[in-house]
Amino acid sequence: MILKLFKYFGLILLLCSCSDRMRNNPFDPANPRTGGAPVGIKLSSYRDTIDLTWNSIDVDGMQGYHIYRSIGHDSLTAYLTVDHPTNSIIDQNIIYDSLYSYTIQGFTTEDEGTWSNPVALIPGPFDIWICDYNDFTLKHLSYDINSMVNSIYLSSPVALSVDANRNQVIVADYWNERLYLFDRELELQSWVELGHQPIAMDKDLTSGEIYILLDDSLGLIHIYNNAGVLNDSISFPVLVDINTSFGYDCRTNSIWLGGENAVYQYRQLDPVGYTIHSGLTGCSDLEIDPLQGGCWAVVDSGIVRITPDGVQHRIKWDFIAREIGVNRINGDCYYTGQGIGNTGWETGYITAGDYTDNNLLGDEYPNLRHIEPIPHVGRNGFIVHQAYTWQLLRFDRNGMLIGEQNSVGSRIDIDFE
Amino acid sequence: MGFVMASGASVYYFQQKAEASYQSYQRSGSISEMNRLYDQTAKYDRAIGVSFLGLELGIVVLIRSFLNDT
Repeated sequence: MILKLFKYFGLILLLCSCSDRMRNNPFDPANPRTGGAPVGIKLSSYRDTIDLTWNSIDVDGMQGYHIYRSIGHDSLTAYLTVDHPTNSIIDQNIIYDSLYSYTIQGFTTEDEGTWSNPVALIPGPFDIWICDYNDFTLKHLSYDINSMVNSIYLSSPVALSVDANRNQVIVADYWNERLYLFDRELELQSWVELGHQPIAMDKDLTSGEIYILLDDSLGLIHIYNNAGVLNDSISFPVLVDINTSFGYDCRTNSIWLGGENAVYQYRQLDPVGYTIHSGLTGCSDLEIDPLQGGCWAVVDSGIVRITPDGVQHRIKWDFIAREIGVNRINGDCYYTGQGIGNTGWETGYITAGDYTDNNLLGDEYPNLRHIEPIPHVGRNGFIVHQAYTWQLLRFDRNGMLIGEQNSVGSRIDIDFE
Repeated sequence: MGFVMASGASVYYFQQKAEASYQSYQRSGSISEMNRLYDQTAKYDRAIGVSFLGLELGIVVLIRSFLNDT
């Protein structure tokens, strides 16, 4: 009987002590979601400005927010105080390639809240755009690639070209056989029917003309003006597939295309037409030298520089290069690949002037499939794509990893705004 | 019958007090005040629990007394 009474008493105590109220006051340090600090913090940069936004804390007596900032690896110091309900600031005149960290603290007439977790980014002169064929997306990323500004789904984006001056992002869609013209807010402006599946795209930086390589039985290149009107078509006597690489060389007014047995050059103003650069088999990637003209090519056993007058310089030999990318401002050629005989992965760059080979990363970063240097007058970091982890990695000029994006498919194209 | 009604009234009363206290907690911009209000809400919630048990007990006794009468 006594035991039964104890059981009932215990049950009554249990019921009486029940209270399922959450500590959900956003200013409450015991709030499990906010910890008493501002949440919903978003940090983005565009060129020399940084936008910082957060969710307002809506409680009685809310007065404002203290913002603490650090530059580089200094400690956070008081930077700015704004009145409630302001919930954003624009930090101007920032220094490119420096780490900016911010923390926000709300304060009321009574108390100061806790500091938010710091958020950080590295601003720079470009935003980065990526089209991802396997992930069906076009992504607008920050300079350090850590944050996504915007993205949109497309069925099969295979190549892109960004023109900041014309506020235009052009994407070639493989299965829809279309060229989509977006503005930088990703509002679709118009599209163009291509008639064939596009493989690759390049841009004449001076005229704004777009060159599209199409998956015809032979290498067919359409040239569109920046309004999407077809200006011209050129046919190469070369079988092409989805991995064929080409580029427009505004220095020599030529189109260069990598074939199975040679590299082909079509001079637009030359009545003779084609030049076949023979002895170069299995060209899997080709990049134009924007300063001198000519191109860099990845061939079966290394990297070759072909000068505008057709001289071949074999720079890196006995090397299975996976991909190359050229710094658009100084012409340095960045590469990633493996030595023949499986001697480990190498990522580096070849200087444009004297063809000096400089190492950037070693075997600690294997399976790199795509490399894109950040345009600059000197060495200024690069982006690589790693297979199997399917990550995009951003390194600074000192080879330090400063940014990552996950779930990036195996076939991507990158451009800068 | 009187016990049941009193228990019901206390449930209602403490419910109102708890809600008011919790809403004040949610709006408070003072950390000490919000702790006090949250603790007060928890006390009212416990009082609701006790009142509710009393109500249930009263209902059971009432039903039994009706059954015994019949």
